[in-house]
Amino acid sequence: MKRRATHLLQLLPTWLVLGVFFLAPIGIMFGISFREKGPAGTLKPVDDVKAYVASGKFLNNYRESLDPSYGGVYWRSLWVAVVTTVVCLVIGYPVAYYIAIVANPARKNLLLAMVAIPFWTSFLIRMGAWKLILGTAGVLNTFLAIFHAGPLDLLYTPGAVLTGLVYGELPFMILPLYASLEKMDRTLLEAAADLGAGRAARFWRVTVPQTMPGIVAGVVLVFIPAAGQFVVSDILGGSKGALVGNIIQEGFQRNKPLKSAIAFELTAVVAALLAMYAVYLRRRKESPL
Amino acid sequence: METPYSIRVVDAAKRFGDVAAVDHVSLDIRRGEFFSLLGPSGCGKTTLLRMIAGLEQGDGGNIVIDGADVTELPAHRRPVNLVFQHYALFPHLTVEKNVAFGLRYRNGVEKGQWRDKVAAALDLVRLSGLGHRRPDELSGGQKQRVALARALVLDPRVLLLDEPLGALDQKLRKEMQVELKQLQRRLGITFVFVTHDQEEALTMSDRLAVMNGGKVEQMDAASTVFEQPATAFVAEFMGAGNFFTANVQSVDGAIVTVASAAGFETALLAPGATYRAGDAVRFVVRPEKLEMWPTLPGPAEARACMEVTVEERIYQGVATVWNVRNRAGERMNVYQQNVVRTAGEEFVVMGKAWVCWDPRHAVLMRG
Repeated sequence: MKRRATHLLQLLPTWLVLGVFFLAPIGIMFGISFREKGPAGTLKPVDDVKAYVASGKFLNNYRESLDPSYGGVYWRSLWVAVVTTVVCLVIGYPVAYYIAIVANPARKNLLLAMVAIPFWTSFLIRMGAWKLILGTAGVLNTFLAIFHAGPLDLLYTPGAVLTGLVYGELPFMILPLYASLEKMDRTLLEAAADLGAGRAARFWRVTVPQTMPGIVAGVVLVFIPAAGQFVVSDILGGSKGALVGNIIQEGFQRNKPLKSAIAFELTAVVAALLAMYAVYLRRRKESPL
Repeated sequence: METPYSIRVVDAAKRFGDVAAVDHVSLDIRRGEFFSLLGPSGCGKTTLLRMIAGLEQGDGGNIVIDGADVTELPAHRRPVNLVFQHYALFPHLTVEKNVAFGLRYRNGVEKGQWRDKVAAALDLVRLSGLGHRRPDELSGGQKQRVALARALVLDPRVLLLDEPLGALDQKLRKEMQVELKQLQRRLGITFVFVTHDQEEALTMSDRLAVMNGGKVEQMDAASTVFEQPATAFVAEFMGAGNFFTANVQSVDGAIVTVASAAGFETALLAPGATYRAGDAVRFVVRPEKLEMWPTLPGPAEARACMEVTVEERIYQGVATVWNVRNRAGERMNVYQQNVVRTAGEEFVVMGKAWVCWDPRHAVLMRG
């Protein structure tokens, strides 16, 4: 009995932090998503809960959020998140491979530090920098002007948003990939060579399956923030580049119930993907990373 | 014309930094023989094996397999397969898929054919029915068999084995030694086996090469290496270890008469050797070829004897090992089979005894 009590006491800090900073806010948001908005960002009071539920009004926000007029934004968000993830994987894998396997071991830490260095600068400032690079009178167009080319409309395009997202999320792809490439058993590659597999076959049949946990971790770590981004699209995407993150963030104060409902739908989609990841890990009998 | 050699290593060299892992080694491995590379850890045996497999690029010399120079060929183009020390099974594939892994790269295996080949290979190593397991569901011995099947399914001309039994327990190890030997005889392909265990090498090999410091010390039939060690290192490594310093007195053809430091003369057989009177030499007698006597036996049989002091008695059940020391202070082991229950009772620790041997069993080498 006493041991059990001690055990629960030890867990208390964890549950306290999770409860105050995670569960409680989510619970409050979840509650709000079923309410009606009042004037000036307030919530309309519910007098009779039974009648409110019976009238079906509590689902109005979810109904509204699934209105076809939002469809375009949802699809664009999903598409942008998928493309960001794929591009990060395609760029990140060779980088991680180089650091983990090709590079001189003495340089590994330096190279990893270079991957992490952007974190020293505020995300907003880095996105502002991309604005300076891609703008009509920006660095790229100034460079093109030397060859009497351009100016190109780079800023406020889907391409600009993608560039910003890929740039921002890339380290989150490289680091888990590096970790799994680093701990990969190299004798498996020798065994594959010995069995007749050439360079490409060794990569696709041994390296990729062996680093699958890193690939999946990287995909999850990139896809989730990319799906909910609003800063990048706000700064680099202009008026037509809005993503679901912008929909939630813009005017949240004025219509908390509707925005909360949309936020919850996004959370549900991400949670479903995470559940698939958990199932995958259990299948492989491995813990994350 | 078919060469009688499966593998010829010609002046192979490999350096790791300042260390010569393989120091200009040449050896010929005959077709269909069980050949072992034997030596302590760090002697270069594994590096040499990896050079034959193509997993290590040498700094010099040539590797010839079945008469074709493969020195420049990468591992995946060489007609040999390696069984790795820690198996190196692909953890993401089933046993069946592991065994089938290489089939698509070796010519002649059509798509529908691999199942039969895989089944036959698993049958060969007595693992039928485990094809759908994953490597982490197998015991060490079973993993070892999968690794064997995965290599043998490709019909290699030479099978290379890198201490494949090192991770198995003693009993399983003994069983696998016999099984591997039988498998090799049945398949008739060349096995090149790396081990640091002299007993294992003797059990399995037709011929073996003892390596030390990147060089081959002796290469010969297993029993010859055991009975006629060419160097002090080989003698020591094969468990002989009883060295006696002496001086050559006279040479008569193959018969060399020496005066031992312990004060006796003995004649030894050294065919083909070029000793001269006055040469400083050593001779070795294996522990099981020495006999303990309580008193100096009569001169009836041809034998050499020396008086010793008994220092230690190590009772092992089937045998007793005596640590004794002669007048010159040279220590030696005497291995005495306990053929009668009272064996060894006539000797006492710190007491005197006589150690005798048949001079034909002494091996002469330079001092």
